[in-house]
Amino acid sequence: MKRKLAATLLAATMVVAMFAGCGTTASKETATPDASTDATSVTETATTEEASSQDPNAYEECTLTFDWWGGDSRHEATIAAIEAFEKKYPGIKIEYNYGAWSDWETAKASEYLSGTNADIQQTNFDWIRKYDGDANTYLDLRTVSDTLDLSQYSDTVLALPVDSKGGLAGIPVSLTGRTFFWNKATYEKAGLSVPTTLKELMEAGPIFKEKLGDEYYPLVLTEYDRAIFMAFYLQAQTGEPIIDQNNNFTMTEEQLKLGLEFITSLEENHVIPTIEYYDGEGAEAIDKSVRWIEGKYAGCHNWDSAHKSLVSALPNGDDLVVGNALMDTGAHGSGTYVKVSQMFSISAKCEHPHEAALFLNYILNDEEGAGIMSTERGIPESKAAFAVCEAAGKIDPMVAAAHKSVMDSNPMYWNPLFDDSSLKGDTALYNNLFEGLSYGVRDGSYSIEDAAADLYAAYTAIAPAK
Amino acid sequence: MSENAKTKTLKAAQISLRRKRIASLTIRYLVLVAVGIFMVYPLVWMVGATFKNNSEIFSSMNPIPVHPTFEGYKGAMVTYGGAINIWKAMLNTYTYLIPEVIFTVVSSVLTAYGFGRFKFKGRDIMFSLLMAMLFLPQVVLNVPQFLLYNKLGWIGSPLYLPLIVPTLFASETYFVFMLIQFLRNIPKELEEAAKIDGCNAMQTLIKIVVPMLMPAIASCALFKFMWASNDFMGPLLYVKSPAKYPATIFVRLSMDAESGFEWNKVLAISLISILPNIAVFFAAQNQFVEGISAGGVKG
Repeated sequence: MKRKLAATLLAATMVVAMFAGCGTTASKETATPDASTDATSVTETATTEEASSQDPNAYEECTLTFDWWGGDSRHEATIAAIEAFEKKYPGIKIEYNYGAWSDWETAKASEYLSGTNADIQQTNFDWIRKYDGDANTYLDLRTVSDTLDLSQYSDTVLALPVDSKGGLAGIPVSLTGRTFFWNKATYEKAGLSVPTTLKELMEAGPIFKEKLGDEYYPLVLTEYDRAIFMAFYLQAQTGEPIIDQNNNFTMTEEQLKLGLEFITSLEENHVIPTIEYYDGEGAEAIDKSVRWIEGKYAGCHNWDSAHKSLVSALPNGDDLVVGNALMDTGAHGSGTYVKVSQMFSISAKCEHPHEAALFLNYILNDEEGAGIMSTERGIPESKAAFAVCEAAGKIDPMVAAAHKSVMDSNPMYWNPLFDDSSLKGDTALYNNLFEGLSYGVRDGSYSIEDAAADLYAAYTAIAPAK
Repeated sequence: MSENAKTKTLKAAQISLRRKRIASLTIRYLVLVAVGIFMVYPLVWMVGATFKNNSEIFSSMNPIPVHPTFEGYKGAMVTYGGAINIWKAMLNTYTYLIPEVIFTVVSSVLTAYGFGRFKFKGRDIMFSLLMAMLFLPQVVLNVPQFLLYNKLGWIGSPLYLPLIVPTLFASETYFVFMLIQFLRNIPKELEEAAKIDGCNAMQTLIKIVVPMLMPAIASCALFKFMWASNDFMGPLLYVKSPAKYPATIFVRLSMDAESGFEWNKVLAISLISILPNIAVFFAAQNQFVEGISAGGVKG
């Protein structure tokens, strides 16, 4: 018995000693290379900092991660640009990842939460507010302005993607704004020309009904379009953005009521279909609506970047004309919205900001890089890139016209709070409210007063009244 | 004379009976065919739509294309950035799908056997916890799981660790529940007999219980196969390089709402990527149906 106990004890000590021995050697082994790499990387960064202050083109060999969302042609163009960049700057390796927009943000949100976001990212305008609230997620791009040529962008463009500390959180690749798309052929069938004033549009409603029939409408507006169109109408009355730069809501409940009355009058005058009629078809978006394809909806109010999908849906693309000129909406002009359609940002945690900026400058402003990137992310805001694309004939005159009509309309400031998730989304307020109103004013279950009160409460909940 | 008349009436009765049977059969088949067409129509339409262009897809109910085009299939064969194409994506899917199915089945059977046949301290509370997991939606788990796998350094793992490893721990509670229900119908006497013959617990499981459980195991495997091959969120969160994308992500790569996209290509890719699933389903159809009903009928 005693002997057995002694043997067990001995064995136990041996095992413990063995494990302990293993432990120490292992930790020693891992500790040494760690320390040495740390030291080298510190000296390396030190030298690059010195170098970069002397020559912005000097760079250090490194690997950068980059991700974006989009469709086929954008993926192809971006991959080609990455390959050209790696050829031009041997030693810098770009590891990339891409996907479609649907659920992309969900994946990115979890990355921001865990701090595993890529060094360089294509970012959405409202991500600054969502994921960069403390201005620690995205690098202030002005710190790398010796490499990234910001002079290619106008000050109004650079004033948009500003974070809470005043830093430049992203660089806008392109801007997009709301504009009208008209189906010329349908208007001609009704004996009309495409409307240029609100009055003409209002008059077109009854004429469409009389000449073409009940299922023809001069314009179609979804719930979200109605929210935007209403804001657009109200801003023309007051001359102030509905939510201003200080995140304050500028309208009164009374004014919202006027706006909602305006939207309801469009419906009553057969200018736009009711939500019931629009939803009855079950189309996911206007460009997938058979009524749009057949020209029964003769107009829509959409982002200018949606041009391609709207045209390609029509059997004869030439029928589509773009116009932003509803000049008599109010005392303060036609004022539309402009927002950043997407940006590129560098992570604040990026270990090689200089090289990341070098890459961004290549794809945004460099003659070769911007030429490969082309207009896959909209009409480039960078002057150099625009010149390259224009010279190469990449800029579709129709798209350019759509974009120009927006930019020329003296667009008003657009606050991303307008798209807050409590307002915009399948089950959010805009959808519920405009659907409720469209049904409610006819059966008496929801009045314009109720809707104005609800809308006012929802707006002031996210943006305090001025 | 009378006998003759008898046979006549008998014959007449037989004929009328046969007629009735034929009539009832015809009606039954008509109903079945009508319902069948109703159910198969979307699939047939999808096959037809791969040969249509966008405006025809949105404006026509007719599954037969008027202006057939092969652009969809041409587009489906494109290799993105030299890294990923439809075949590679499908191969990627199966590299994590097969281990997932095997591990899920093994771990679920072990867990179900443990809960179903052994009494141990804290069994009831642990079983309640396990059942409570049934009501926990995956969406709630996404963020904490992501943080955990990130700490373990598994994000973007080329071995799909965040997708495969959890299946080792009977994470599909529903299967455990189903297997336990099934186990209740297996007489304990068989296991007792095995014990008398000298089997230990593990041998009993492998030699006696598993063969009896086979229909239920097969349906678990099939369910897991279907769920895992449809999983979009998992790969989206944890796969970080295009060369490792599975088919679910690949199908969506070209779907950009902003610039519009070719539906025929998306549908062609979808069709190609579901072919193995359809084949597996037809091959295992009988097992599948048997498993579901066997688990449910005698509770």
